[in-house]
Amino acid sequence: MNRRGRGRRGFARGLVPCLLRQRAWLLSPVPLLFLALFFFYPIAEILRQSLAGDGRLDLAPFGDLWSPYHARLLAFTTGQALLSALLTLLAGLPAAYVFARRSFPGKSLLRALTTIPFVLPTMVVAAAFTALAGPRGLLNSLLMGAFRLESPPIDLQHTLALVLIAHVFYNAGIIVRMVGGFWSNLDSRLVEAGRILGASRWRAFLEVTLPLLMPSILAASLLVFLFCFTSFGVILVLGGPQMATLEVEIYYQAVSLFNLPVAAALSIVQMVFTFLVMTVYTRLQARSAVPLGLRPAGDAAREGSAPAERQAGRTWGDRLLAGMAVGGLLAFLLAPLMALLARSFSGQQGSTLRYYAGLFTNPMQSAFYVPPARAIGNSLLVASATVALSLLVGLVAAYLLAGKPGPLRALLDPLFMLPLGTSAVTLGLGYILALDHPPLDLRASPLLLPLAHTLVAFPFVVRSVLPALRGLNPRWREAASVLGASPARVVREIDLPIVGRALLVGATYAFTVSIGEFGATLLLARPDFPTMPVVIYRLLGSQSALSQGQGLAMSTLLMLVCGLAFLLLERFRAGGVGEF
Amino acid sequence: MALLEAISVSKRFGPVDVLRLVSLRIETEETICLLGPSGCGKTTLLRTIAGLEIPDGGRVLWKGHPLDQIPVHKRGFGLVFQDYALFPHKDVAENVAFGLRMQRLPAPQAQARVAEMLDLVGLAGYERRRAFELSGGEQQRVALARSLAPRPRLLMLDEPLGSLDRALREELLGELAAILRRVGVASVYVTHDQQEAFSIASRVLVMNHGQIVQEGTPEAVYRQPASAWVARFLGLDNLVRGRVCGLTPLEVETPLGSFYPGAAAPAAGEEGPVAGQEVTLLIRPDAAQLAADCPGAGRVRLPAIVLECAFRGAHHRLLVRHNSGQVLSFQVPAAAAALPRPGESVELALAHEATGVLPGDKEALE
Repeated sequence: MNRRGRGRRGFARGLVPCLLRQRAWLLSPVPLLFLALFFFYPIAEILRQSLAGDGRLDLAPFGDLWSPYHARLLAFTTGQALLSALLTLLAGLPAAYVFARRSFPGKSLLRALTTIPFVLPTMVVAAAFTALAGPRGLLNSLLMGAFRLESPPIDLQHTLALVLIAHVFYNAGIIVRMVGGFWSNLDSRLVEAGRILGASRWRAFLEVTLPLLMPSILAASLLVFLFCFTSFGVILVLGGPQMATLEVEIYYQAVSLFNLPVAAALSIVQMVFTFLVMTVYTRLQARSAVPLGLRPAGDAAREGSAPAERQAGRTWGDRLLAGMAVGGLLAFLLAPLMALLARSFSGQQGSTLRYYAGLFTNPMQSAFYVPPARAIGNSLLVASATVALSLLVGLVAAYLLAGKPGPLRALLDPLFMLPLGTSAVTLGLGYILALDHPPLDLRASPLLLPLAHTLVAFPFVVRSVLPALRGLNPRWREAASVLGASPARVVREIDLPIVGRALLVGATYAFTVSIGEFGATLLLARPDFPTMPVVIYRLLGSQSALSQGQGLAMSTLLMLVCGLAFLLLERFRAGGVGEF
Repeated sequence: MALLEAISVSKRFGPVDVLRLVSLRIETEETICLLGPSGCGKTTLLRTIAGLEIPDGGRVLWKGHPLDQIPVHKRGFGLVFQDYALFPHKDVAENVAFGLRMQRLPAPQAQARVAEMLDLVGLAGYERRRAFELSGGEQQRVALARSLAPRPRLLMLDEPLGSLDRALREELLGELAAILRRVGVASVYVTHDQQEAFSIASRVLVMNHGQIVQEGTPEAVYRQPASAWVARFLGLDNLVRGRVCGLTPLEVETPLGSFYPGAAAPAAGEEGPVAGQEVTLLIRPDAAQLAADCPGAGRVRLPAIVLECAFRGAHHRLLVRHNSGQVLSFQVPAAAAALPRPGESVELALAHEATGVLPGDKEALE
């Protein structure tokens, strides 16, 4: 290869081999430096400005938090998260059981569908529920048509119920994946052993299955709790102005009231809280990962140990219940998305493309500086930059973690996951506080959004790539070399085919994270450079039917993009890539 | 009346007939063994008796009463799983006590029974250990104690030593047999290992393709395999096509010469050999000696070419080809005078009484 002729492509091609050769330590400062500059520095800046704005330690902002208002705020934030987690568990567990323990045609496709909400931006979900259950929503217009009603019968707008439903929608797939995944690996002979020793079906479930599932149930519920605790977009749009979680309050304080010290203090409270929950979560995760009574799924098909679904005593009623558990969940997950699609095409006089066309105009009275369609380009640009950045940072981080286990790795692993537990609004706030003045003034930099998104996205790359890197048997490379492959050829023939798919999965995650990111973007995006979620938020907040319709149209586009990404993920995750 | 009786049990998994009209009886507190290669249906038969599988046809009776409507947990049977299936969230004592709790045995009695069982399997003092802290052999003992604790009417063991290494298997096999004798419980032992089957069972049921192909005491099964397939499965490979040419005494003519197997009494309901009948002659691996070591008469002399001669400790394994093309393998005492090398000609002396007659099973000989 002509070394001088190496352009940018040459660099990208050289990165992977460099990582896979044992020279990665040269790159090892990359993720650490990245974390230091774009995570710890902004967080530290929040701390500094809230507690020591004028150089002295000042706990006054925390004193301000000591009020009935903030007590109610914390109580509501915790309460709705608890309720959401409980409801999600109730909605997800039956389907988790059916997917784990029964076999039926189309199972893997249906199970994949339950994870669609994973990749959907909050704004799309908010728009979808507006389209389904809002005053002008599909349900209301159907009911009004059917019963000749004057006013919409369903009034869920700005109620806690709608918020809870949206949270369940978002997180039911987590229960299905996490608990169901654990359940399907549970050795069915443990239950059989209990049965033979005299336990009835119900007793065996209580005595054997449930205790074994408990760590995974707790871990999944805790994760759902955490997501709902820091819920932002859903509350902002579906909850309305009188509803606020900590996250929403931070946003109001920072943007509407410009009370940065209080916003920062709230951020710290939230960070401490989420950190505590995260600690418990990782403990539980580690416990549920202990391979007790687990065996690889393929093993279960061995002679003599019949899969559970062949077990005795399945009646039609039984099957009906199983069908309802899965069918009900899927209907619940797909209905809002279908409603969104339908509403984006329906105006007062039948179907219309008006809303889509409207995205490309910029009427004078509009509150925006650019036609909404411009946001599509912006989003794609930001997402591409995010993918590139998070691949770079994530790949190096994954490589560091894939090395020999040791104290360093034990420290790095949770460190790289830390950004996942930090709320997006806090992050945005930190960037506002930290990156708008020297030494690091990125206020006007086009990289500000990609950097923020990368912080959230690169842990996904790490988790996707890490198992593949760890699974790389060094003997394969040695075998290839012995068989006559040059070092470059080894990378092409062995490393890339094995890690490449995982990289693609990580890139897709990074893409969906970036294109849907709302919390941090809302704070950071310049008014003349909005991304799709920001535009959707503005459009949905408008009172005019036309703007709302445009919001639905934009949401539909975003949903389709994410749906495409989802298909890609499912296709490439088929081989069991990734640790999710 | 039989304790347990399975009548014409059949079971399909998709396109595969896993059990084809299988019948078996357990009369007393004996240990019977289902012996067969993997995939022969022995585990499925066990699971059907346990109630973990519902048979497509046939029925299982306990002392004459059908078990169809009795769910797994009310049958009062015990089952030791191949990988033990110890509850990972319970310690050793809790595992053993599980069945007792299901019987609502008061705690003091249950505790005493647990201690008694752990004592029986030699694990006293292991009460508070976790399943995953135990070695394979220890897990196996806990599984046995757990199954025996509720005093099952029937104990089933599914390849209980299958995941242990060879030395440990030998050791545990002896202990297992002793424990089963001491407890005196009717048991069904499933294995693919003939050594295990022979040393633990009073009766062996050989299974193949979802059917029981032979049943009898270990000695009878080994001495007189019912078919060429059974002979092969038991490692008896020297099968030669022949024809009955005399009845008193029984004389079988083969390409190797004429043999007098000594008439095995025909089993009840079976007919003895008929003159002119095509049969298979089985020559046991210990039938041969080097002719040089054994000058006397009364043996079949067999000239052959040595293909292979391998030292196996107590004996040599000698692989030879007879002039007819037949390949035979023998165990020759290690102390034999002058062992031949591959390629050399050798003369073997075969004892008539180390041969047996099987039905002319053409397919198995191809």
